[in-house]
Amino acid sequence: MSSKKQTEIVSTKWNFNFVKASKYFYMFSIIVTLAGIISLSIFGLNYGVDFRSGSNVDISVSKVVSKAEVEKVVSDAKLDQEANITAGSNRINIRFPEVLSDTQVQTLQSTFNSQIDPKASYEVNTVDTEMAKELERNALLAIAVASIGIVIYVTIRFEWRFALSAIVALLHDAFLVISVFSILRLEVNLTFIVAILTIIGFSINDTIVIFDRIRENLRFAKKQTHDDLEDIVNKSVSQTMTRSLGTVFTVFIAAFALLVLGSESIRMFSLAMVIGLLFGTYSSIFIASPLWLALRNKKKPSAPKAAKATN
Amino acid sequence: MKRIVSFIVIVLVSIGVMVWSTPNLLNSVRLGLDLKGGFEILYEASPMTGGQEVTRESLVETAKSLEKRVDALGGSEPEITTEGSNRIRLRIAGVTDEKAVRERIKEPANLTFRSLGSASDAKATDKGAAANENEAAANGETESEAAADPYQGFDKIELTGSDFKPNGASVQYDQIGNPMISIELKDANKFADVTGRLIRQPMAIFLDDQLLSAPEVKQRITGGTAQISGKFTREEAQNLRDTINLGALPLKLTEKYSQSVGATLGQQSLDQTLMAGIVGSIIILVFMMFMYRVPGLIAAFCLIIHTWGTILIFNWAGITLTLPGIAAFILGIGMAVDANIITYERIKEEMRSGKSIMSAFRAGSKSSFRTVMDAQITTLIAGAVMFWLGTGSVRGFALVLMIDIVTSIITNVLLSRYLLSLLVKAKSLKKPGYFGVKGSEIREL
Repeated sequence: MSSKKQTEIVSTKWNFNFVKASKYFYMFSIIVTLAGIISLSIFGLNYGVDFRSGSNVDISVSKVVSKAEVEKVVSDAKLDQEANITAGSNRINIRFPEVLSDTQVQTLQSTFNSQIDPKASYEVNTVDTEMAKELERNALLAIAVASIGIVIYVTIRFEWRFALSAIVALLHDAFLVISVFSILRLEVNLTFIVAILTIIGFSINDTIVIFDRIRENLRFAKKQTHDDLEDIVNKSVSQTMTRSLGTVFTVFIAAFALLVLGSESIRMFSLAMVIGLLFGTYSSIFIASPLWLALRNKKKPSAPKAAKATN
Repeated sequence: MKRIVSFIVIVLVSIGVMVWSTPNLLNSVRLGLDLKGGFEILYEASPMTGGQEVTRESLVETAKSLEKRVDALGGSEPEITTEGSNRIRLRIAGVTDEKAVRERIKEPANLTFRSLGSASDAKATDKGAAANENEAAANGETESEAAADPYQGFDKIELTGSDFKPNGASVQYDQIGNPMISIELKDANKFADVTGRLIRQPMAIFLDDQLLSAPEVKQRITGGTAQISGKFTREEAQNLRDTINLGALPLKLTEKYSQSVGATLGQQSLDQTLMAGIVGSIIILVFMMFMYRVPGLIAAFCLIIHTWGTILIFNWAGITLTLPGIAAFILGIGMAVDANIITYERIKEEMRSGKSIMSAFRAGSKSSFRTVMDAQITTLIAGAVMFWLGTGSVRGFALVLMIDIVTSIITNVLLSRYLLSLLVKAKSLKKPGYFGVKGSEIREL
């Protein structure tokens, strides 16, 4: 936008000083992250049945059913526990805080069939809290191990600064999606973990494409002063911008179609994907690339911050 | 001209093969329980008796035995996998009578031969008395509750399920035609030892906590065959034989997680998700053709082959398609298209910088290949980790993601590049407009 050196760059539609703008985006990301930390520590996540012990019964019905009718069925079935009932247009959800036994489920089904709708179709989920905790631990472990794997690969193919920036960006994306789910009290279940892992995959994919361009432009750069590097980053981001937008558009369309038209069971998954995709593209452009520049500038003896560099 | 012909032949042949094979292909896709109804149970296995450990072998044996039980009911194709050190996941799709399956599975049908155990041992022999003292004392305490004890004092297990030969039970008849059950033992010597030790003592035969008979041992039995005679009718004897042959589960199973989906609900999920997939794909295809014109058309064509090829691999490998799998599949389409977008953007860039179409294609394909591979491999690493560490649906998702990446490298990287090269080399794409590049954007060299 402002730099004189940009005259020699192939003009694209996206000339913009991404590095300069990045400090506002850093601020934004830090604020959302802090809000996420606060929300997570006070309210935690709204865990779905996969993470809470108890039973979840989804009933698909062929006619409109009121909540009161379902309440009557639950009390008639004598299950001895409080149930949380949500009645939708053709789908009813009943949550029980304690695990229903086989016979209890059958009693519930037969009561429902005889009182309300003989053609109802059921989905019953039961989980033990122990299992839920393990699933969560498993997912965290998977993220940690995947990150290490990615760091190793990117360090071999690129250099460690790229690897570090890419990891910061992907953890940022994963954490922001978790934060949004915590703040908006959206339900988190097993497919949410799958979504987070996919977002990580997508985020790294997106970041690598920009980094690859930075690496390539770096090779042809004569001098590597602070300003030169800033130009290279801006240039690389703008050169890959059409691609970034094109790709995010296609994956976004796929995820959005799933969100709007897909099955109820993967609605939260699709929502997490849609949010994560947007964060993924955003972080590749405004977080990962400027961060690499900041790390790289620390290395240069001529750079202003060199004195503070400890390594 | 030759190149144009081979381009047309490749396209027509692939379309022909796809049109011909698709109906059959779609019918043979294995749908998971969330798409056609069914249920899933995750069991945690623990040893039948305290102090033992759950071994890999016993876990696998339990899983096999579960499979046999479900198979015996007929109709469904159960998917039974062991997980970790002590878990078994059971998935049965398309089962309508969940209750019958559950009951069949829960039936542990453990056949045990029991003796009066420590109490009589202490009396009969002097050796090992010290070791038995504690047990005897404990036994004495519980004697008052003997009425509640289903084993009626037969507290020492002499032989258990694993001592009998699989499918070794048969119905035989004694001299006067009364049915009895004959059971073959794995180890004749062990049975000889047990019977030798228990001469003139009763030995009870239990199926779970049901007493079948309690004969007195008259002599050492060396033939390796045990006989159970009682007052059975012929039918009872046959049922008993089947139950024994079905075998005991070597381990005790407790349900940890279960999911059951009604068939209507499954169908609904399938329809909705497929609809989402079709709508999403059409928008993506139109977008590609609009953005990249002729190459976009090639990308769209390769994307269709990609989808077809992925389903083909699912069928070959017998992978069950579940809801998260379809989600991964649809996202995979987006990622496959990304490979084309990266390449085409690069070619367009090279063209704008003033290169000829031929050299722009060469340079663009070459330098974008590395980018695409780096991006795909990093995603593949994430997928592999998920597959390795994940369980259940996470694993299914990761598998589909990995297959998707590999097929997209073949179709949307290699095949699409080859097809485009045929057209470029045949010089049939002379105008930059065919690539979606405006003449005004091109710089003079």
